[in-house]
Amino acid sequence: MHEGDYLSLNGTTGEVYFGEVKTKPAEVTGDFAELMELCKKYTKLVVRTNADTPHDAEVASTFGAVGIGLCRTEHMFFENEKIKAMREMILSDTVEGREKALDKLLPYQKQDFYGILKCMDGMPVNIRLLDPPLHEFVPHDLKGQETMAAEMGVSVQFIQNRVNSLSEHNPMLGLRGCRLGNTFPEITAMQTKAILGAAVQLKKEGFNPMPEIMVPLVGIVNELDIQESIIRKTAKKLFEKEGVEVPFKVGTMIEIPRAALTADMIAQKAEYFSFGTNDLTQMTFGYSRDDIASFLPSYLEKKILDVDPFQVLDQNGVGQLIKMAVEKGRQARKNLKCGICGEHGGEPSSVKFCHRVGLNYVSCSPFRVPIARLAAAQAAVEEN
Amino acid sequence: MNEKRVYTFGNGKAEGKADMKNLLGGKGANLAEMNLIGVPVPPGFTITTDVCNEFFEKGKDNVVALLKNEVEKSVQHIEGLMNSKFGDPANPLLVSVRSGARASMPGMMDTILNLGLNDTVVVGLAAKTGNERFAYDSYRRFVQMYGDVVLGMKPVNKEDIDPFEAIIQKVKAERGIKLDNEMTVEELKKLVVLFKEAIKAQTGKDFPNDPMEQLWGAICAVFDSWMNERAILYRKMEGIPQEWGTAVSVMAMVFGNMGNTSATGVCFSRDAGNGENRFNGEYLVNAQGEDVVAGIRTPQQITKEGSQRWAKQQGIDEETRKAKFPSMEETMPEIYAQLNALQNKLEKHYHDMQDMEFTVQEGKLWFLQTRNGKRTGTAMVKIAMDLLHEGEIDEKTAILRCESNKLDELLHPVFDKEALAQARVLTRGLPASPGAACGQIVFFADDAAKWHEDGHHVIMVRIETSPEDLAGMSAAEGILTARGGMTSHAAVVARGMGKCCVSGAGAINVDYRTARLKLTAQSCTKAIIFH
Repeated sequence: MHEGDYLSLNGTTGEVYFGEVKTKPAEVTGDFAELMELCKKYTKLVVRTNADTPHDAEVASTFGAVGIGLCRTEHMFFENEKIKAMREMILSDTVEGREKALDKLLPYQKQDFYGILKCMDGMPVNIRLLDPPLHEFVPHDLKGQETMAAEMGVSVQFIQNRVNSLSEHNPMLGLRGCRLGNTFPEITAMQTKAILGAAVQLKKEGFNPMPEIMVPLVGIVNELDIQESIIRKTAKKLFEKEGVEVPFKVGTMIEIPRAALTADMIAQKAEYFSFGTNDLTQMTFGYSRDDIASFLPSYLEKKILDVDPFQVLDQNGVGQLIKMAVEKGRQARKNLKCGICGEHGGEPSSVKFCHRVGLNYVSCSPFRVPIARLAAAQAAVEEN
Repeated sequence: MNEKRVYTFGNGKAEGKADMKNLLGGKGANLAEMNLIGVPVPPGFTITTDVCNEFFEKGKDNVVALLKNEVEKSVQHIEGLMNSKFGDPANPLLVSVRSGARASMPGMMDTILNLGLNDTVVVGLAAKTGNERFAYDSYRRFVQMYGDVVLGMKPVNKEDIDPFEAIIQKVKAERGIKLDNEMTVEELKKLVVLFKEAIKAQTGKDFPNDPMEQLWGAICAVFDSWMNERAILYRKMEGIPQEWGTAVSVMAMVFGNMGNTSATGVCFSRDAGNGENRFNGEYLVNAQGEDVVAGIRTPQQITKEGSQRWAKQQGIDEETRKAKFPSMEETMPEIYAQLNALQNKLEKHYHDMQDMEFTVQEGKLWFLQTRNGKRTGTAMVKIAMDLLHEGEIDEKTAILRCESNKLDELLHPVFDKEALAQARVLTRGLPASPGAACGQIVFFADDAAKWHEDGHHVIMVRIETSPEDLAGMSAAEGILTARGGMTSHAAVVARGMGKCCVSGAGAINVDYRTARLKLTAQSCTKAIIFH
């Protein structure tokens, strides 16, 4: 056999096989399950998962996740028919045009939320409203633009102009997060209808859905204020029409330093905080996460940084903002629920920090759930 | 800064103890502790980790001056207890010099054995032991190790073998012999001369004759090895701060290569791969420690049960096993009983799975090291739960015993049972570190890293691994070696990383130059040879 040929190794039996042998996911059983039970006994911090699909949610719940801490909605728009409707919505230049496209999207969104809420029945599911810059969804190639032009009955030139107008110098600091919902309130209304519509349907079927609607990238309380009232109004109308009411919460992500600094004001409108530590780290350090590779190795070598702050939570800086926001937030709203949903939610030292500053939960990717559970239990044990 | 830089131990007494790990390193602290609880350990002393930091701050010469008094006194302490003298041909003291950081870093730093030998001492040692072969074998090993570690004799290219190994092969080829132990005393003597010449030719340095000079060279080399590439990489991977430094332990030599009543081995109080409560390990009769770890000779099992299991995996029948590969339990039953009792005592004392090194010198058992054993994620969880059930630790300790990041290994995919039933077995080796891995074959560490970076899944295939291969092992999905046992470098490091590893797959033939893996027909059930 030559370099580059495939081999498979079984380190448990010592056998070596030809070619590639198929593998399957691991399960939590035996001693591992016992350890996890032991963790449950001591932990104070609970562990949720970041999941965008019923499949991820299912995997995470077998690992012991007790809810979803972050369900991103943007990934749901990328399949064939959905992306067309999404593009149509973005490329329209009138409210009517957008609403027409959003009506097409509504059933798809509702179906997606139905699946996830059902899978996590009886557990909180925190759904984030549309967050990324819109240019991420539109076609940048000529063929895609031609298809959209035909679909919408407009000229290719029109489409190209719209695509160009969406281009931004710094999209991560541009039209995204709640700025989308505040610029195009019909998006927030549609997503609320989809989330709560799915919840109503489940409730009618005898399930116990626990949706939470999260407004992203808030920096000023007014941003949240307007979004919250759209959500509440839409909910009221929907519940009246359906004759069924489902309890739900409205919260926000704390991911802009200004939000942390004014957490007491924001907590008047938010029923919970979820710390989005990816963006919070980005904006506190002023590092673009996508560009950090150009200087991080040198910073680590020169010991300017001990670790990559996007992997291990910076307790002295970003962590202080979290600590302060939790304290201020709870001054305004005593039972304010606080959690973290950045990558840090599955990193042991960051999880321990979250325990120490009194968060209620951490949320991490499904395969980090057991790791976070053990770290959370250790934090509780170490405290005494 | 603590003014005391050196801590002695020996004869049931010690200036240090187990909770002084930060200062004495894991090895030094445990050597002291073993003395205190009545485990037989050769006398010696440990230079603190603080000195390692001083070494890099103040420089070699200043630190040697600072240490001089204490080290000389401590050498006398060993001489007193061993009834021998450094450099005295009539009654020579030989020592080992080893690194030992706060956290275990297996194989990352350097070790020197048989220090104290020179052209006159070796004659004395031969006369005293009546074993000329042993004396010269020890001497050539020392020159080899010292040349490599202290004087910097390394292979020039990655395809080259070790320069000393090249000389050995040449000498063996001259007489058409294959095994190291087939060399005559004259040939061993010749090796010493050739080694020294090669050192002089490649490095321009003379081999030092004065034992104290040798000792200082070795102490400084161990400190220096704290900053070698592989140690730095290992620290980065494990998150060990540079400021911790390494301690240096100097200990009287005991010899596992003084004939058939001598042996050396490595053992674990539980199975480091799957966590089962089964005393296990490997040993070699008439050998020195490096022979076991380096994977140069394939060692035998310590327990009879382990030996039978090993034989089954290798397809060796019971009769052949008994005759050719007997366990220590069978060949040295009394020593085995002592060893078994002491491993139990150590595990009970530390309340954790122990990884121990020992040597038997002419029927007397000595412990050279004990530490909490590196283990896979699976073993970590099982051992914690078992110790909890056995009442050795409480629930909180059990939780703290588990390293959260290591759970990752338990979440890795496993082979699909149906796919596995249909898989064609190429060959078998030892189940050195559990898990399922598949990927493309690479033969060199730097290729493994490069291929991995390009998005390939790779299996690193080596004759045996060395600490230089660390980066490649880390990038690979799994590791396959042709030689080496359950305690070989590949096996120990792979278990620490939680990487799947099959070691000692004797039927594979690795040719680095042509980048090919062949299967020797004898143990391939289907008798196919691959080109």
